[in-house]
Amino acid sequence: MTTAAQTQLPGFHLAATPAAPALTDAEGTVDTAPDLTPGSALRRRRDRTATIVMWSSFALAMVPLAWILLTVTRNGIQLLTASSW
Amino acid sequence: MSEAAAVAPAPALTTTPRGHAADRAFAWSARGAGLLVMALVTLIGLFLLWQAVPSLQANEASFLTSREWDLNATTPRFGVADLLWTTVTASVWAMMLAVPLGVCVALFITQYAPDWLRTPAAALVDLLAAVPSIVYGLWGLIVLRPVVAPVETWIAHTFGWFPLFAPTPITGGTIFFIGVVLAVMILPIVTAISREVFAATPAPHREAALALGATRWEMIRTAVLPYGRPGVVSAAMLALGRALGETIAVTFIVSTLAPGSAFTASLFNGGETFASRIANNAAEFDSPRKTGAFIAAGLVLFVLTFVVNAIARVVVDRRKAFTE
Repeated sequence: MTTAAQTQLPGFHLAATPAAPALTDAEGTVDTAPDLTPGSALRRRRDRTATIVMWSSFALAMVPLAWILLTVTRNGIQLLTASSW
Repeated sequence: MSEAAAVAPAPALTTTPRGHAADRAFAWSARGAGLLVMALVTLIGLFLLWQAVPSLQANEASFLTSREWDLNATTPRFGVADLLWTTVTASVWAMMLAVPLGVCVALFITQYAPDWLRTPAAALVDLLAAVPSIVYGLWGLIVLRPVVAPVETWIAHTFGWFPLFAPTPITGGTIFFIGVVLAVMILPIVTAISREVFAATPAPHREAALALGATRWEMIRTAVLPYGRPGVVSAAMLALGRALGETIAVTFIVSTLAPGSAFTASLFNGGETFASRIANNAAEFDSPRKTGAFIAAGLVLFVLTFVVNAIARVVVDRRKAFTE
């Protein structure tokens, strides 16, 4: 497969795509490293808040289940074990 | 196409008479099952209507707007305004509690929980649906009530100027409390259905959001929630349908008001739902006219649930066009 053939493919304009402009900082030095710094403080805080909300909502959903199981077992077990039948 | 004669005919493409008959039988049985369901629903509606009409004709009060319920007089007077109010407020309040919580739990299970926790967490939430409603009634009345009562007192004390939170002398099962218990009961429904749709979010949608630098929450907001919205709507409506018709837990808990007591819009008032009024008065079904009054109340509940489900259907179908 030649490069020429590739550029002829509809929808693939590899040759026509201009090279991405080099990223330069204030001093004019080329910055080639990708920017992998985490998002802004606000975005990170929102993300962390959401995580906390999700975990605590699951914990909250478990409260009635545990409570019911505990109540039923605690009140029922002695009747089941102590009965004379 | 001279070669075609030499090639053996593909057997899979021809339908034998027997295969044809099986196809037709299946088509008819599927059609029959569908029609049977529709016929059953229609017949239930017709039965309710047929039983209710004589009582409604004898009724001297306005059925939909009256608050009276007197079936023993020579001219019965009954209306469902109170029942409608209690049923709808308690169910909507339950939905307001359970839907956000259920969606969060579903998001937790599908997006946040570590792999080892995912399946047990889902099973535990489903277990809430396995608790019999009579157990919810007992637990609510005996165990949960003393815990919620101080909260109610505090809200009524602090926000009592707002009509919904006006203080009332009711100390037992209030509409507010019914909503809390119903919320626990419908939580597994909301969670189970939302979980299904969130889990079905196409991986490329989520990966694209993450690849563009979205945080996990941003990925959920831009990919998972829009995709799951119709499912969440139908989950909420199914849950509402369950809450509207819930009988035994409500009958257990709710404080029945004395006949003729004044109407207040407070959530801290008692009251009866359609289902609990019917269940509480099962001993009164001794004459067709009295029975008919309760059946008329049941008919309103039937129509209410039907309308809620129909709205859900419409919302889900309309939203689908935008998400797919």
